[in-house]
Amino acid sequence: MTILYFAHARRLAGCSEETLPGDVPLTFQQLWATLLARHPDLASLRTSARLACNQRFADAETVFNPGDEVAVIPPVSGG
Amino acid sequence: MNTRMDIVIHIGPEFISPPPPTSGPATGAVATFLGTIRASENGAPIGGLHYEAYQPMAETVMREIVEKLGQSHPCQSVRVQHRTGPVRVGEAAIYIEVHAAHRAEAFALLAGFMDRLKQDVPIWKTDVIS
Repeated sequence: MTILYFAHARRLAGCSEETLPGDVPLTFQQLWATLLARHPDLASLRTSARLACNQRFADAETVFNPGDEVAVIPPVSGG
Repeated sequence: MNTRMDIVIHIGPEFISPPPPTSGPATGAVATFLGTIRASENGAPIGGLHYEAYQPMAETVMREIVEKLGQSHPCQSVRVQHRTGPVRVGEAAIYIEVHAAHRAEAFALLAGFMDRLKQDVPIWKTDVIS
């Protein structure tokens, strides 16, 4: 599973992209727990950031599969 | 009735310099919007802003927003350009051009798009340029 970090999330994670090892699907909660274990500073974005799975916004019911492209989307500020 | 709407979206570092819009025979309204960089941010003078995008998703989400708004406000075509990278004060970060038969639909789609852009399109102002 590829994880992309954008904007403030990239600063907190210290990288723009990484690959999560593992070949089992993760629930929304499991994925967040994994990300926070790897990058504790992301905790400050836990309530405001959204996750995307394969370029679509995920929700609490989303299951993330090995091979998916996941993105951590902090609050947006385009325009 | 649903007529197909032409949608063109471009996200990238290119300078925004839109040509004067030309309209087709069925067009009665062309609404355009340029979002430009102000010279101050939170009260402090700045030289510009740096934009970052999750480009493929931003394009997909923009297209979905336009298509959804087009169901309520039928328009003929929508063109959106959003810059990434450094954008200096006075330059445009975003350009939107909406063609419609009548002005009400064009204004409504344009305003609705900007509202949704600021909620759901993965683009960020990441740095202030001094």
